[in-house]
Amino acid sequence: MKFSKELVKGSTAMLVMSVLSSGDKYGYQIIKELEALSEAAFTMNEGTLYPILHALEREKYLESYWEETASARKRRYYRLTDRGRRALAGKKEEWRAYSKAVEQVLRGGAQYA
Amino acid sequence: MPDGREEDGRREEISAAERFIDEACAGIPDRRTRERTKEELRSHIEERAEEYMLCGDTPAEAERKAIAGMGSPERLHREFAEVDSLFPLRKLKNALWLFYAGLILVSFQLDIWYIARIEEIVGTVLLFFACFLLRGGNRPLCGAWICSLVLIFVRAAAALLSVLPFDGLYEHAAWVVLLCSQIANAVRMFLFGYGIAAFAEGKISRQAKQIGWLYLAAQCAVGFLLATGAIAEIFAEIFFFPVFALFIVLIVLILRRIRHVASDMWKNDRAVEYKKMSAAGKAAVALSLVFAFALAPSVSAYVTNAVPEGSPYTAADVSDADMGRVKAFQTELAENFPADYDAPRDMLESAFADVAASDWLRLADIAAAADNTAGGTSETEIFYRFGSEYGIRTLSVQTVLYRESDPAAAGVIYYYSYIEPPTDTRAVQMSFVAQNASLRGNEGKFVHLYTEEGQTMQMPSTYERGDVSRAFSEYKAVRGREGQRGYALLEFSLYGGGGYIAYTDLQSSFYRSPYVYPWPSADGAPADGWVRGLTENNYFLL
Repeated sequence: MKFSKELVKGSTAMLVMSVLSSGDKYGYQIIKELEALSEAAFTMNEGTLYPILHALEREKYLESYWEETASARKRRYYRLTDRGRRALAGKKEEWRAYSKAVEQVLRGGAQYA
Repeated sequence: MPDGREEDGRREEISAAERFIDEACAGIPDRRTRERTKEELRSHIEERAEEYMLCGDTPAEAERKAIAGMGSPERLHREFAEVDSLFPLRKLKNALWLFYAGLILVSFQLDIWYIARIEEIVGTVLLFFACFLLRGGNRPLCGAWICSLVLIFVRAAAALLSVLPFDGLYEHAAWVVLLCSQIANAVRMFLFGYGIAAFAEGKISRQAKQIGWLYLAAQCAVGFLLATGAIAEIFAEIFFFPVFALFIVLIVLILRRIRHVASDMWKNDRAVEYKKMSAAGKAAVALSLVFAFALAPSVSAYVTNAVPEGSPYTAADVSDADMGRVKAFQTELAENFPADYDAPRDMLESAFADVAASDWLRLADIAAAADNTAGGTSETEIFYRFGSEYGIRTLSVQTVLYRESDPAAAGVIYYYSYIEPPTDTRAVQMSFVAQNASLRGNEGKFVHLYTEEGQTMQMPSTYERGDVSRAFSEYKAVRGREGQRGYALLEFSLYGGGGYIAYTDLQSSFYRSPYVYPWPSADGAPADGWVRGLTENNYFLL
């Protein structure tokens, strides 16, 4: 199912941070893991990820470093900072509360549908 | 991948991937971030293309698919620009608030106690942090921040110089330090305005542009006031506090408007180069430049005012023309003062009106020849120098009057005048000098005298503070009587259109008249008969 842009936009940063909470990853790796974890529900243009990563890095939620692969290719890895972990916890809390509220409204609306 | 690159110096063929990367990253203003991002995207595209090639695609097809998977370069451009704007709205608003608060403080020089100095320090710090917040916005703003750093360093150096135990070091180095400070300040103001204009030009939203224009408009208004000295003039007059209040209200209204407009979303933040700016943007940059150069008079003022007093020039360095001016002034002084106490100012203006700024170093402290003595004429000896008082050029003159018949005592008229605007201030101090012998061979043996407030009139002296009673005793012994016409005029000061006098009855009692405002002009009637009578009838005359 394809989600609307507006719906995705508000939660993408949280999803990316959540993927990074399990370990350092580089850009393409984050996209593949996100796709895998969501069972292909979240598929984004690969380029779109990078502005998000940069925004998170600017907010000091992530930090990055270069690493050279076995084939001499340089990859930029991202790591969640302590500040980022705290922010992620907050966003998760917020999301749970939000989705719970939405669910309640929808259930309530269904009674009268 | 990038193919067609030729090593023989001919123009490289740019691959589709590189074109995509260049376009996508063009919205990143910071060069280092931009290069890093390019490398990151390049690595990503190469890796994806390799995967496609492993699936059987040709290199060209693999590259095309890898690029297509990245999405639209225009969209990436916008999104990077939005992220890398380095201008979160909150940061911009905070910076502008800090900037104006700092500007008002450094302009509002309330000359009471150390308030002016405190205001200057706090204002400088606020301006520094304003530039610090916006330092990453674009290169001009980064330059403004660098100038702020220079200012902090320069002023710290000035403070350090003042406490070093090397006599004369501070004085001689101060003018260099202050000059650097003023230049850095002017450059900072220009770069800040340029940076804001460049930033505003990059906005697409009409409302978003307004923030930059409102700031620049306010900057021009403040700059105009600073350049004309109007702010200093306004603040110097207590009766103009309503005007000052209006000025503050105007600034607050502008800032509130900025805040209101800034609630709109900033989109597509791009710093625009000057060449690509609109006419309005170029005009704004030009105005910023004018504003910066409007501070130039303060630069020259610092140069001239910071000329150390007591420079090593002697009478031999004074040209005949200047010496002629001195003698002309001296003659008029002896003839007219103090019957017409406005005369000194008029004489001063006429005598030195054509002295060029470059002559300052020549018109230094002159020690008059010591060979005009008792038994000769009643000529005056005159000391004069240019200096500074609260950053305003002053000319001070010390004229020693003595009589042939009574060379053991003399009267010294110490007189100084503010030359530069904005205030029409002049002060005349009369004091007496007690000596034990004739002037010849006793140069420098003058005493300190104190006004009621403990102010000293510094002259070459061998006496220390606290020897007032001794000084009076000496004088009485020399003079052989208690006083001279009841009172000796010690200080006759005019400022802000009014004035007061301080006097002594030579019995160690000091008095100071009330402040009289307005003080009569040269051709006007005296505002206070008592003061007029006092000055005419009771000044000290040997």
